[in-house]
Amino acid sequence: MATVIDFLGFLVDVLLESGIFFVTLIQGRTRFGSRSFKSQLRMMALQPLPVVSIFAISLGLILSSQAVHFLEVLNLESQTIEMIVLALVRNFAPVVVGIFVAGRSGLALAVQLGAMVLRREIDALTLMDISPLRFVVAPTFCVNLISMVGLSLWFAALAVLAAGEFLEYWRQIPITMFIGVVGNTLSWADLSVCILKGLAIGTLVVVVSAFNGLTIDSHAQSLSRVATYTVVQSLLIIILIQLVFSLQWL
Amino acid sequence: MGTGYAVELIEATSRVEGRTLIDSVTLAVEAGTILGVTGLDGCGKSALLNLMSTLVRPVSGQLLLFGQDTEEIGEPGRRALRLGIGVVFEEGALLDGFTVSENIELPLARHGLSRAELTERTELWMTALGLMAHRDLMPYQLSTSLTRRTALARALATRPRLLICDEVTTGLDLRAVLTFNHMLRRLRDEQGTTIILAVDGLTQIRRIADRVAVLHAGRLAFLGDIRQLCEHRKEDPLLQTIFDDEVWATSFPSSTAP
Repeated sequence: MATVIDFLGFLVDVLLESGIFFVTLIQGRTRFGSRSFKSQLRMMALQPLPVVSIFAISLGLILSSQAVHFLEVLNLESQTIEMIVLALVRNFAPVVVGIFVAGRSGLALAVQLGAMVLRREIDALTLMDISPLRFVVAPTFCVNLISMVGLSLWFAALAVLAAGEFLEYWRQIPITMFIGVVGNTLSWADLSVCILKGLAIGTLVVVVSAFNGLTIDSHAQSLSRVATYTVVQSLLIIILIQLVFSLQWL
Repeated sequence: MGTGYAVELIEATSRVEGRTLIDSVTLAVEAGTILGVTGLDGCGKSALLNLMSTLVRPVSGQLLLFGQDTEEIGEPGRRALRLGIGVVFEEGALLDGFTVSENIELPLARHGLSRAELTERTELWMTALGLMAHRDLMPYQLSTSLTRRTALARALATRPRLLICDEVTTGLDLRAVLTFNHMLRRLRDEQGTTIILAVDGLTQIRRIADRVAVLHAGRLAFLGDIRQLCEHRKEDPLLQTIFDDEVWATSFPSSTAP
């Protein structure tokens, strides 16, 4: 119970510190923060693009091939495009990107913070009256939100296009017609769900990772435990977010 | 205890992860003096320094810094006090993604200096500690000595009233140790900085400290000057145990040499 209360308090702290960081960043008053923000943006939003693209194309192809087969069996072939589009945009895009981000950026943040605690860099920052949350966690948090939304939308777009290409090749559905149906099917609500899920996952993955990293025990073996906890808890949270959204927007 | 003290611990106890690391310690450090803290490995030297630097709060007893009770003034007061404390960690604790000069510059941001003053102060300390040639190196590119010098420059650049050094001479060659000692003496004599050093054994304490505190299992086993320690050592079985270990360690290689 105490841990849950600590975690909620920590969540509020991260949101506050990130808000302050973002304001100072926009005002150009944080030289080191700005550098950290740019390097995180490169690392967390641009570097993962190739892998996320491969994931997206593969999932688009897999989902469309499976959907065509099963919906044909169920005599629901006419619903194929709608089903693929909604599944990819509303569900798969933020969840798959979230899992990728948790395993990459979240884990990296937890281990970085854990190592900083063990190397006493966090103590050094505290003594300099520099908030470790604002200095280390806030840039990651802000970039993570941007990259979660950006990568989710990129993932969705590529996966849908890959599905369209599959249907054109195997079912001779012209891509222009496919795009027309996608345009009619997809509403702002679907895109909003994708973005909101991305924001929720991005927020909680960073908070879980930072909480685990900063509360590491003071011995080196605990670094591997922090990494394990971070990945498992992040995955659990992603599934719970997916569940909450699924129940909310049936 | 009066306010001529930089640090006062009164029956202070600290506990970390459920373990009592400092047990009811009472001691005072006069402003403008050098206190050496020693004892066997795991006796609580680093824990005592963590307590004195306000990184860890006492679970009971009091910690007064420059006459101010660190519990009474709350977190804002402690944050203000920390600006007057420089700490050099054994590990260096330099920030990984920052160069030598940036590491030194970082704490100055909180001291309301202009950009020009900031650069001037950073360069002053880099020059004083022989770091100018290494200013653009990253922490992982530095030797132990350079890491410690950078950490010292970072701590000193803020002109602290209290400097706390945790085993910073461990692993340094004699020349580096003597240079380091010279610098600490100048700080004490010219700026009146209070310095607290945690060290292994008595050699470094003999060289530099005005007073010595000996810890054993988190408790204060002795507090006085080095002469008093030498006298007490003859009569006090606990001090004999602590420092006989040192004698054994130094005699070991010659007795087993081929």
